[in-house]
Amino acid sequence: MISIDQHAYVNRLRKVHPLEKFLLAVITLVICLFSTSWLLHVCVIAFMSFLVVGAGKIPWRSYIGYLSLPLFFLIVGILGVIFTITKEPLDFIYHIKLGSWTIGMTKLGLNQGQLLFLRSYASVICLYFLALTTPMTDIIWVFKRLRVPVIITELMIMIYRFIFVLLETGSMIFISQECRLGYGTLRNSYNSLGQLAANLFIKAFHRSQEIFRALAARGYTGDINVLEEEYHGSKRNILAIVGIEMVFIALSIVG
Amino acid sequence: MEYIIETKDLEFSYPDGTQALKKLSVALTKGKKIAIIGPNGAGKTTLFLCLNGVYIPKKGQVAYGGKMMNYTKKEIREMRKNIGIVFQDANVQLFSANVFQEVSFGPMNMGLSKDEVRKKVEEALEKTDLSHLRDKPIHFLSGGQKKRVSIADILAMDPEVIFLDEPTAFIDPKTSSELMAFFDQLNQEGKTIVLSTHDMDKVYPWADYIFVMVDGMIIGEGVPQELFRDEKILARAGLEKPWIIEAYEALIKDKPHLAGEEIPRTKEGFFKLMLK
Repeated sequence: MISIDQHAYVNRLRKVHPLEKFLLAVITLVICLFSTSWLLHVCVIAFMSFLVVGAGKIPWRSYIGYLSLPLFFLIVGILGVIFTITKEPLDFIYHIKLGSWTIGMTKLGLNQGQLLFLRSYASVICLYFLALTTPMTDIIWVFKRLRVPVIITELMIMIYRFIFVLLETGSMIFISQECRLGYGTLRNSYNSLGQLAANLFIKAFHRSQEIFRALAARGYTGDINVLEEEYHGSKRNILAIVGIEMVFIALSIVG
Repeated sequence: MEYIIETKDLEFSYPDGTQALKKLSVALTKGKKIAIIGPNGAGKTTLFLCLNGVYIPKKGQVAYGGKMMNYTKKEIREMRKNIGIVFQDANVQLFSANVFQEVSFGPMNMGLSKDEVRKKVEEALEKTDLSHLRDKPIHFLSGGQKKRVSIADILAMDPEVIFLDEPTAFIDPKTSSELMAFFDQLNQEGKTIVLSTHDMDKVYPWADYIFVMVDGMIIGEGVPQELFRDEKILARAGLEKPWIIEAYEALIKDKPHLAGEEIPRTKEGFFKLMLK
């Protein structure tokens, strides 16, 4: 998760207007979700991967690593769709009989599994494109432009910052426990992990009070106002996005 | 001498009953480099937070620039603008996702226009040598860089007084020497600098005036050369002498004819005296 965050700050598409990247990812995602065309899904996977690796210059090794992350969940999920367990005789392509039960693959199941797999994978890759090329700060910026309620965007700012503080605090506690044999035996491990969780909560609570004081010292009165960088949109990019989305829509209708 | 902040019989207790400040009277001279030293839990941070209007003292008086403060909403706003605090733990102070936004928080709260805020932020980043890190998220920065961002936070608000709460804690010796030199520079630009520290060797050559705080009270004050020779106060506060003073005292024991000379403030000064 942290390295995704790092890529988001140093890739070649970093300076592209965040709203453009956001729209490209989200519109493509919506088309993927509605389409039943495998051709479209394959094209989206290829196109988005090209953008990430080719244009964004994210190292392909790490990209493949990220791609393999959702694979496990997808495969497990799809097995249930492909295989049918039934007492009824169905039109199986392949099956095993276990007493009166039959486990097997039907043509329908296989098709559904394939569609589900490609559709989910294409959608995940759309989100990967956004996550790998657009830092969280820019995504929050987009949300503000889209008039998402202030309470949500402020929470996003704070959560984003303090995830890392919490992670650091948690790993410090973990290390300090480990130094004192806290994870030596299974019994100790349960005990230590429980204490870690409890203390992390208490620490987080204290921390929140300290932070409130620090904000107050700089004139905080209930709204977090910060100055944002300005981005300049490019007509060319907008036209390109419109063009690409038209192609995707056409593909989903034809395919 | 003009005092920028003066307190009289200041008292403050925490909700759990701990009395953090006990009839504390202190007068901070405008434009000086002031240090507040004392053990952990002496109430230094509490004092800073009272003087900046985050805590409201229970009893006693606070005057800012000769004007008595009643802690009305407007006055608290003024205090927070004019008296900045750089917190000890940068992780507590820095909340925002990236450096630029972080530094802009204070000036935005002051109600300035966007252009003015931008100018102030740029200046503060320039001064703290952070301009190249402006788009970086806070969690990518090192400890020393985070410290500089927390200072830029306050500089962007352009306060008259800057409180630095143990600014050199957890910072490596080289960076902390650079920080002390930077505080010198800020002082020359007209800011009153007040810092708390446990590093006697760093504070001795740096400070114009020192207060010793123990258990919510000021138990001693003076210019460094005199204060650090007061065994009684140092023993009560559990503080050690800076090495220059220790060495100076050993030297004049050995060569009593040097006792009339001025007490050296720096390493170089001490070596010069040694050769006399």
